[in-house]
Amino acid sequence: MIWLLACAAPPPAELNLRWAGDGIEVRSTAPVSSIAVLNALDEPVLRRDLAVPETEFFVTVDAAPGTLHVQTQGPNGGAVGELTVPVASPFVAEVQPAPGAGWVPARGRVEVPLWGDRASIFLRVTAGPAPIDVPTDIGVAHLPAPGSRALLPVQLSQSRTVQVGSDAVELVLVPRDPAQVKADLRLGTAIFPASPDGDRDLGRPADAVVLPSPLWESGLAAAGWGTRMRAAEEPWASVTVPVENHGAVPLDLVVSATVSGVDGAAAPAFLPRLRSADGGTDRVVALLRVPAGATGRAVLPVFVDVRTVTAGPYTLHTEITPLGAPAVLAASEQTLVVRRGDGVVSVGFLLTLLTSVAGLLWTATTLPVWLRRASTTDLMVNALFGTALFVVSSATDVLAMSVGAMLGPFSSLFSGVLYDAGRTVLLATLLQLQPRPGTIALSILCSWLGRGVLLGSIGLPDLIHTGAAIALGEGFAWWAGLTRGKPLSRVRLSLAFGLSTALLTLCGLWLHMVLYRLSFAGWYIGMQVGLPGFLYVVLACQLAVPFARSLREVDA
Amino acid sequence: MTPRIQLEQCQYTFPSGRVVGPLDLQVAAGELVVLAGETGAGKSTFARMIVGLSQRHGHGRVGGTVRLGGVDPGTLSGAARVRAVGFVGQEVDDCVLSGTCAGEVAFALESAGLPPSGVAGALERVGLAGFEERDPLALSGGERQRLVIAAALAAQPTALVLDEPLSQLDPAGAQEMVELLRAIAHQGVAVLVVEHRLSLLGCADRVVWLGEPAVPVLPPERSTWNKHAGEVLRVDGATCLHPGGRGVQDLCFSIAAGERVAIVGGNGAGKSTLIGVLSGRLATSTGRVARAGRVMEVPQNADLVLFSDTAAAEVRYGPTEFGREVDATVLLSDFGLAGVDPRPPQALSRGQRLRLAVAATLACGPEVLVLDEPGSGQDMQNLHRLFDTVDRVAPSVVFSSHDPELVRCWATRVIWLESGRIREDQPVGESLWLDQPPRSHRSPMIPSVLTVAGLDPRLRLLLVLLLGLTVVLLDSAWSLSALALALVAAALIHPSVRPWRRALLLGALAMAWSTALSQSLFWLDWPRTPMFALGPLTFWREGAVNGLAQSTRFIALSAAGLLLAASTPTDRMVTALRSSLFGKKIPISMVLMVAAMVRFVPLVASEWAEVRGARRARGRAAWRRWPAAWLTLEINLLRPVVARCIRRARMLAESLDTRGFDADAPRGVAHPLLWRRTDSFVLFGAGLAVLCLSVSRALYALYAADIWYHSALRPLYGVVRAWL
Repeated sequence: MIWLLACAAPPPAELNLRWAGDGIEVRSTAPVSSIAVLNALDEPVLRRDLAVPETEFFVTVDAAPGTLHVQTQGPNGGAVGELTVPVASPFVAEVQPAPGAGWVPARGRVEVPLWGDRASIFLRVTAGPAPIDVPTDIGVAHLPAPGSRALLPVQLSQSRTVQVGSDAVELVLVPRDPAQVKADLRLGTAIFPASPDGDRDLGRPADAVVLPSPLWESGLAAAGWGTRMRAAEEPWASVTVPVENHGAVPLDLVVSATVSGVDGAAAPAFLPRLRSADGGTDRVVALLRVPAGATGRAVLPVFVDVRTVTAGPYTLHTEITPLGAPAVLAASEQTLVVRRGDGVVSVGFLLTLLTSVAGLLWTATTLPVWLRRASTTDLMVNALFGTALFVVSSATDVLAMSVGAMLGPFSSLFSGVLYDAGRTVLLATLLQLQPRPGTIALSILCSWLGRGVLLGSIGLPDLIHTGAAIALGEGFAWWAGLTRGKPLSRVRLSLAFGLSTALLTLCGLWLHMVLYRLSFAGWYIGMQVGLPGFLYVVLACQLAVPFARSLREVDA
Repeated sequence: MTPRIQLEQCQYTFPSGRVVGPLDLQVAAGELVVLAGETGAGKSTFARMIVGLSQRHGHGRVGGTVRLGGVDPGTLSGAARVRAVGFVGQEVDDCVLSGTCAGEVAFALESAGLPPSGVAGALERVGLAGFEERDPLALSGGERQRLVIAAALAAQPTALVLDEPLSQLDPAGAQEMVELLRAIAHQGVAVLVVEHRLSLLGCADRVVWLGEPAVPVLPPERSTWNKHAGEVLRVDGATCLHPGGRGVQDLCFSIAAGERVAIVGGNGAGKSTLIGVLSGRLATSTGRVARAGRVMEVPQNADLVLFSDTAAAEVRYGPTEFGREVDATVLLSDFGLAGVDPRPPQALSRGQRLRLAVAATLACGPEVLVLDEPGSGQDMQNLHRLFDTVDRVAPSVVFSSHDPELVRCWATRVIWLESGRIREDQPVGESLWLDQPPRSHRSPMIPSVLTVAGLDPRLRLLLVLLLGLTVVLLDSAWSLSALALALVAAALIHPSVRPWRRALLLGALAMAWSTALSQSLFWLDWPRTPMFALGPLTFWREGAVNGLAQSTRFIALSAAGLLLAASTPTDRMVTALRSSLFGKKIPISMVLMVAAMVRFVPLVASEWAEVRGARRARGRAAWRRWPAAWLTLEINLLRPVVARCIRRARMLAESLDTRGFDADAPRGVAHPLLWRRTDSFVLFGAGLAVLCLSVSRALYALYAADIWYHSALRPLYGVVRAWL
């Protein structure tokens, strides 16, 4: 059911289109990755693919007056809309109330926020279909060609009316008190990672950049796989900064974000790739208008250079300044961590799987032969050694659990002594009695099935471990000559059992790391492989040889 | 008429060169013949030759002619073998492999390709009608012996060979067994019994002696025994009851120095419990046992006391631990063990092992020597020799036995137990027990296996496999915790698990705690907040939380496994392994190995505990020595256990062989499992759920690894992240 719900189609996007004199302002409820504009005769006027899916953008369109049809496509589907291109006037005059704010028509009353003793704004005049000179109170806007623009700076220390051609615009200064605005603003907890539309990206862990191991990435790159391979300019994710405005007037704000390392300097791996768009700075910026008594969300891209970024903690700094003034109204810091997969563990897990499969395949193909060749006595001896092994391992399991409650990961240093010694002497004695290939495999398989019947330990990890144990145990016993007729000696036994157990310990740890998501420090892995995995077993082999020989007499 | 069993100039040459025989013997249909002889005369060897075991498994050479119904038994196939002869070995406990009486009897029928309907008939023939679903381990010694005979007779063979069937039975049980054998012979079966307790086999048609009849070792005159005034042991209102309600209750008596006390009674009367109480191996729940000196026990299975690598070291072990001087060679000679000093104890003969165990115990200088059924499996000659030595060396002796002859010869006093209470405490000359007519003994009807209801065991195994996959796929701490809680709750309310509730909860807590502790140390990811530091080791809070979350996987898996094991009788689990699922079968040899492995776990565990207990009685605490010496000692304690395993394996293999086991021959299942439609539905539902889970996780893995992404699947990715 969850799966079906998850696969349900999203609702269709809605388009809000506005002609802005020289192009179309597009607002969509869903991200748009490409746009096509057609004229009234359905002839293509423009087609453009956006670098990044956007919900608000502007496209310049050279279109004659009349109806235009707009078609958009995005990750969540497409939408269509239409708008009318009005008959061109000789010129268009617009005012930008604050640097970076949207342009509004230069007529009527326009409020200009005043953050200090003066405000700097711009008057923009754009020529219509023919060259024109437009007289204004600021000066003459000389527009020598159709569509050319003139930008006239306006310094305001008090409200005034500016005449532009035959129209007049009343520029009303609205003083803003930074302290009051600070009090009115609430900066919420940044949402990271977020999708381009600002919603939390549920598919990724919160507050973390989780990346595959470099080995994996380079492998993917070399193979040319991966549909999500990004261009360098594409952001890794977005961060959404919620801003609450508790004041009585709407606020035009600049929300910026930067990521620094532990040294406090901007982290190079997080520098924006779109230098031209972000002015070559170390920060990404978004403009946000927050209506009075409402909450706005600024969505900023976060760039990550996956090739150079290193795992560790970083800090995401978020800052809000008013549009047109440098005063910092609010700032926050949030920990952002980078995690990378461990390539060694991945390769180790893969090797363990391959070893296990080899062991199980070998067992499956040769087991019937062993069983036919072995006498009933040999089978029963092997089974009862399995019983003894089970009893010893269960006792040491209980001991390990008790010791583990106090010593945690170091319990195996104590309980492993008894377990390794018991297991080694039992297997050595069994090999002394039945020095043939298959003896160890049969013993391990019997123990596994017995544990399944007695304790229900028949899970996938158990099976993988059993297969690996068979492959390593049989392989090293054969290599050392123990199953090839060479006499049981301390050196041979130590080599065969020590190396196989050490490798099996390593495989077990890799299995735990991947399948059970457990972490192990490198020094701990070394300690486990070196001490209980190898040294204890080698020491146990010294006891096992005389033990096995004395029991050989019982069998004889 | 051709005799059913025929031996002509038959002899057996061991690899060492020793020869037993030659023997001429014929047993006709309806005859009950006893083969008697001194220890080492070759009684058991001939029994094995008659059923073909020596020919198939022995390393020696068979000479002369052996015929079974006119055919060489060594050449018979499994199915033919089981129809020709039934065999009952010495250690019946080691011959029982199945978890139910019916399963045990059905084995031979499966070998012979006969229908399972013969099970009830075979059980009825030996007086065990209605015992089909009972656990052989819950039967009394006599009943178990009958069960093994029923298994041997299941395929209706024409001959039956029994190797010392009376050795572990009390007089009542032995008498019943003899009557049973007589009845079987009357049914036309040729019965050959290898036995040394001839007094019990007066009804035999013939007795065949191997070699010359031995001159018995006579006990000394009673007047030579010294009863001293000093009291060495006082039992005051002692009660010790086992979980099943058996044991001893409210016992009061004392033992004086120099006394030889026999504790007698039927099987299950509480003799072994009382022996354990006297030696201090078992604690009393009420009352007390006052000991004036060291009381040391030789257990019923004397092999379990022998853990050193040589016989001399075995004798020296205790004295060295207690700081005593002892001449091992002299002591061994006293017990008739001269020359065995350098040999491994477990490689000695049965009688020698018992004498060595007693010698090693006496070497520790106990005030009271306690012997638990020393006659079990020993011939009288051996026993009289042993008691002769013990009588000379030991200050006071307490031994349990159900052999009137042994008691009459070597005890000065008899304590007769019945249902855990003293029925009689008399000097041997006045004991009523010695004149008591045997009475039959039946074990109480305790249902030994749970009723198999609900899901098919194969489905249960598959469900646990699927669960194992699920906990690997799941990553959400909440989902894992919910799963673990549900499974733990289900396990805890199961009637079989309920008595272990506290231990299991503690185990789960220990698992969670140790995982949290280890992960708090190894936490590599950020963010990480230090909790505390121990020298160079820092423990991180986030790691501890992760450890707690991850431990739920292990808890869930363990609880599911426990639930599976507790809710499914072992026998049905083994049958599940034997039964085909999806057209695949595990080879029968492998299944038998698993069955044997599982069957003997309680026995091997108790034997290991017994070895450790015996060692404790003979020395200092294990931990009060250097690590290397401690480890060597711990390894040595495995020696008797492993030796027993080797012997038991041989016995079991021979038992299977004589019941017609042939790995290559086709075999039916007497109690097939029934796969029902509901099982299919449950498997389909569970399989579908795990498939959806796997696909979802796989899609998410492709997304997380930057391999494949689809915007339409974003809600699914969210679900996987939030809940899976």
